[in-house]
Amino acid sequence: MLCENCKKREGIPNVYILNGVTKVRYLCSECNSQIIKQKMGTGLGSGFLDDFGDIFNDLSDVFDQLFGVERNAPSIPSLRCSRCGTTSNEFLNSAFVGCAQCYKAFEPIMESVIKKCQKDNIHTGKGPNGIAKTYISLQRLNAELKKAVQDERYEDAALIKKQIEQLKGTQK
Amino acid sequence: MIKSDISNYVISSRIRLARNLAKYPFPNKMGFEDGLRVIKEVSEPLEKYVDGKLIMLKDLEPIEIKAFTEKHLISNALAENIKTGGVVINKDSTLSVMINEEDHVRIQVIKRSLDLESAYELADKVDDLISENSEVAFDIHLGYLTGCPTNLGTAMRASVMMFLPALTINRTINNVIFSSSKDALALRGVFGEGTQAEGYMYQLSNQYSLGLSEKEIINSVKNQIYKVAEAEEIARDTLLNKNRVELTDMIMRAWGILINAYKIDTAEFMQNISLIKLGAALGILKIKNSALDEIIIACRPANLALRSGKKLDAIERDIYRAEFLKDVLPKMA
Ligand SMILES: [Zn+2]
Ligand SMILES: [Zn+2]
Repeated sequence: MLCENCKKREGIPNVYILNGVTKVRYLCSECNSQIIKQKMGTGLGSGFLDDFGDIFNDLSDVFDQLFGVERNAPSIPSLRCSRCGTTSNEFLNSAFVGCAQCYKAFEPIMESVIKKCQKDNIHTGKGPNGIAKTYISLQRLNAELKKAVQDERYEDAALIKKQIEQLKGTQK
Repeated sequence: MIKSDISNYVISSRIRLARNLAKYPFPNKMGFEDGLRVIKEVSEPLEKYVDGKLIMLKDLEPIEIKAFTEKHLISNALAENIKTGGVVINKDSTLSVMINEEDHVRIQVIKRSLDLESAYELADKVDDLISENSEVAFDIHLGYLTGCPTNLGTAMRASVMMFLPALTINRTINNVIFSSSKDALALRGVFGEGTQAEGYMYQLSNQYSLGLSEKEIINSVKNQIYKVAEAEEIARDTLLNKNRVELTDMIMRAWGILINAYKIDTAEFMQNISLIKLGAALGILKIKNSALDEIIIACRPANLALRSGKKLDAIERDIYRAEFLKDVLPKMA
């Protein structure tokens, strides 16, 4: 198969994972190395974190990249968790909070931290003992509704609205 | 769509759930006494449920701890917590529940081949058991609260270990490693540094744990796995068509080294066993790849030392590794 880019040389399958999507493209090695160079200029240049435990334990590196901006900005409020004593500075340096309450204590900075390392700031998965199940389902549907309206998928939106009404009905 | 079975490309699937008990500070801010309380509270109901005994790290020799990490039964972070770290492992070693790791509890299930669903099913049951017995730190918006915000939400990591020799040899896998921080998935070499994945093994896992449901995470990882497997399949076909003679020769020579060497170090072993795995995957050798994966773990330094039953220096270990291979490999072919 010919290279998809230059259409001159022979191409081989190249795998790219970008924005969560895997793409396989047939490229020759010349065109391929050019693309890598471009990617290197914009991306982080190395993979993100994983925690299989063997080799990717340097979370601090990742957090340097994630939090670097915040940490150096002069406007960071200095916060302290009244329960475990962890300070916001400590948190930004180590990437670890000290207890469950820290999330409340560091609320003013938490949002931007989460925005940087997570897909969204609303949990839509499982909850303990099923207690929160209805609530979580509602949150999930509301998030879906918002997205459907944004994408102008109005038929879907109507359907989701119906589901929300049903769920609210079972709650009473 | 791939033509052959997915197990030709996937070694194992892993689900990891992180949980913390609401009433204690997280492990990095927790005192010794609280650490022991967490151990007791988590392990007691668990031991009954999984029919496995709690193992405290302080009761293990350093080499035993190392051997557990080589088998992926405990993480490096747990291995560092000698004082209050503990683990409960089930009979067939598919489940390990680490206590006082970065979070109070890390539930880990590893299954052969591509099987994230059944791995999650077991992890989910263990999670239910834990939250029946203890109040788990949970927030309605942020989900499960974890030591590090990168694990919030589902606090789940779904990882798949892939075997990608042809993409590695083609040098087209290098690209995958350049993923930016906004990517939803990460693919990294399992052994070795940076882009040069030793053993042609890569780990693909979800980046985000908050904002997606468990099912969505599993499905997205699975989708990507099939795409990468497809690329690997095409690359293997091309490789075989173009270089069958050279490839077969390389693989047979690797076999020769592994069963004839008097001593062999980890790097040389990995290089050659990877070729054997490639030979098995391409059908050049009639060997089961899963059996080779077990040999790879058995040949890692700590597991080898444990098997020998004595203290070995580096040279002795390399000699012992060669002896071991001479014994097990011919039986497989
Ligand atoms: Zn080209
Ligand atoms: Zn705190």
